[in-house]
Amino acid sequence: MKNVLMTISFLLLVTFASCQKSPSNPLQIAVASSVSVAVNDLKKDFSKQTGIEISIITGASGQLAAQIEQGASFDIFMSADESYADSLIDQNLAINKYIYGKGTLVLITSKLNVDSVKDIPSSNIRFISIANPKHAPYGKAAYQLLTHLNLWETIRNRIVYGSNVRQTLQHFQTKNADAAFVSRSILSHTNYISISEHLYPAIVHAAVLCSFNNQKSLLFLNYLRSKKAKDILQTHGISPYHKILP
Amino acid sequence: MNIYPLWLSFKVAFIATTFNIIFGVLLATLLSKTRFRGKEFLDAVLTAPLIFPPTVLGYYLLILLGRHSVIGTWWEHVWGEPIVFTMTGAVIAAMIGSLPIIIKGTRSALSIIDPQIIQAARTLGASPVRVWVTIELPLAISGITASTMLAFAKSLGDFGITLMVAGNIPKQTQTASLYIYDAVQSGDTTGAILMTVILTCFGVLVLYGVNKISNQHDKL
Repeated sequence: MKNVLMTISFLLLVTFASCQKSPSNPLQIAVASSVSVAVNDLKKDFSKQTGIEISIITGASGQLAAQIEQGASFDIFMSADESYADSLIDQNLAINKYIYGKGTLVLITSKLNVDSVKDIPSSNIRFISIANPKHAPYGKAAYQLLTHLNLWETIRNRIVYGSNVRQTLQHFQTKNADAAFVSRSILSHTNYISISEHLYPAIVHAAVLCSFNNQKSLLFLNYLRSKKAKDILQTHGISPYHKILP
Repeated sequence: MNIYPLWLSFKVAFIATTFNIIFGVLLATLLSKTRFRGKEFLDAVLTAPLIFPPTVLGYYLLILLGRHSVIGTWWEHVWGEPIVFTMTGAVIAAMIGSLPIIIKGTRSALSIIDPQIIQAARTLGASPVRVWVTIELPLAISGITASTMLAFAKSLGDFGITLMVAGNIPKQTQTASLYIYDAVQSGDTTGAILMTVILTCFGVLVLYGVNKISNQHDKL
């Protein structure tokens, strides 16, 4: 009995001790998995410039927003979909929205006879993976693209869903899907098929501040506006976005 | 409400459990009745899914049973459809996570049978197979039943492995757990609540039933 109590109190001690926040906390940035590769480059450059450490938490935009609503203590949220940032602001959970660009949807495929999206129906592609349109911005864009081109009903039975772009890419990388719609920014190579950006609604990426009195996170938001940051994002297919007013 | 995912979950769990009873009881017999090198290692490998992260298991399956793996290619050649992204994938996902429960439960139920009873039957001329069917299995039945119920409940709720290999396709592989996950992610909590309540009630009911069976066994 004594031993059991000793063990329990030891475990509790360890648990509480590890909960203590160390004074040199890294900046915690929740990042949509679709842009994680790009943000990783930003992280390196920012840390080199300022010496501030960053830790990146990835997930689907909707999933991360839900975590923030449940009280997750991220400093910054970089959503791939503006609407999640807006909804957090409406709930007073975030401030300072900044649109850091718009994303590029691309098609990747292992079939050599496919040169554009329109080739899919007649090709020997068995499975096409897209991120879940219900909560993943690039999945939504892929769905809208396919419906816009009147292809959705034709190829519907070939579509499988990843829970986010990362899993969609995994379906393709493990060769279980012959094609996938992903973000340009998740790819580390340029072997993809481009899609005209007029064919799907703009995927507007927005960053918000979630910790209200953290000087470091303000520094990062300012860094996002710098030319260097914009250049890095541009190389990953995240281009400047200017809202077109009607 | 769309109850198809719930129906699919029960269907998948039912098929998975049927196969699991066959494999589970045979493997448990092998492990408890025979002696061979590496027996405990085999037991460890078969039990591992119980403690492995579902993502790791799912990734293994995606590679091992994937469309370009040896098994996956053969399966697609014979049946015309792949394992991954189909109900077959969902069934295998449900099987992997719950097979250890049946193996463990049956193995321990078989091992507590008094060896004298078995020896008596053998000296009276019964073959090992006959002893197994007419004496050992009936004596172990409550252990087998209880672990089967637990295994059924576990496969009904499998999430991680299914998410990795089944592709989350509505009406085909979107089970109740995947549906709830989707609904919560997209902020549609009302859609998820009823299904969550049904799954919870069923889970508690199964555990209650398992306790009843175990108590009955103790009284004997």
